[in-house]
Amino acid sequence: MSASVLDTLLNIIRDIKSDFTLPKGFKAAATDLIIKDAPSSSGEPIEIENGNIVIYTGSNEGSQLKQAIFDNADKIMDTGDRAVEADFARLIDDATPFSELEKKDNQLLEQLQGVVPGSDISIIRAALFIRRLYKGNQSVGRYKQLISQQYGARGTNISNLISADYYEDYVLPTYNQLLQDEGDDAEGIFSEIYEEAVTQYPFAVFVAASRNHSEIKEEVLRKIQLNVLNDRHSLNIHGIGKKNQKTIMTILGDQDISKYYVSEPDIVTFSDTLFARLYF
Amino acid sequence: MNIIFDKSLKSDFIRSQNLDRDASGYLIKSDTLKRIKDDNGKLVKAKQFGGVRKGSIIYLSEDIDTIIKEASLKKAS
Repeated sequence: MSASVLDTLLNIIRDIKSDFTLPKGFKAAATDLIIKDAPSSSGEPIEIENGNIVIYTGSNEGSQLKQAIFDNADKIMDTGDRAVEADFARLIDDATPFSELEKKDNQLLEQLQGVVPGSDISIIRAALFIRRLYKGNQSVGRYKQLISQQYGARGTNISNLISADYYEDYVLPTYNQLLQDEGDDAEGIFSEIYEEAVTQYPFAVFVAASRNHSEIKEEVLRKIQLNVLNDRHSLNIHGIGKKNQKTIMTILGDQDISKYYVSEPDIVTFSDTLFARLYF
Repeated sequence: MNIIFDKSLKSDFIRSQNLDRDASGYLIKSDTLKRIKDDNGKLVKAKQFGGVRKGSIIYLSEDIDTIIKEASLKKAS
């Protein structure tokens, strides 16, 4: 925070609370101004907490301070500073260490240019960001909600496919194989396969806590039958978190599903993730 | 200085920025009644309004693209 911004802020505060002073040694450089819609425990409308200036709106003075700060927000921010809602600020803060594409993410995006629809590239970029967060042991639930809000079911599906590395392991290899085998027809064939992968992912089931056992069972059975028709004989099931892992294990043991097995499913658990492959 | 406010104060902040919402839920400038656009050129729904960044005034939507962009700007600063 620049000295002039701090002076402006102090003038705004002292117009309402004339006796306000900053503690000795207060360092303004990395200070945020936090406005909480609550009474303070001390009864004072302004507190210094963890180096930040905190305004509590639970008193008349606090409410006036809040309004004066909102009305003068532009004067107490330096260029590039933000006035943002607290949850949004937290999402930005948590995302900051993961915001830049890793080299392999960049390579993947470059490889996908011209291969997948251009409108999917920004979704894939967002999905790669969520994958970096997940691999960095950050909670990704809210970010996944946001990708769904912004891009609908296609966003959710692409995010699922990216989280399970399907673009590297399935989409690009399929495209390259088709180029080798099908020549001029490759792009048309790939386009159909890709759309099916993104809208239905016939080779995979992603188990989410929001779906109940019978919904997941129905999807597994439908995809087993669809794959058999297309001479594909495996299906992958993915789940993150203990609840979803338990659901997958129940599904794997369901007799309506296990009657299709030609061998025992492969089951791999890593950290909080479970991956199972069924053979039929 | 960043200003961070509780979600319950968002309406107060929106009003302080001379913004209002139209019948479809989009934010409009109170004086011109024109819908505002965010940093990515998209219209901003009141419920998705995240805040502003000081440049001139840059409106921010609470969406995944904005979060990635803002996180990247924050990392670079």
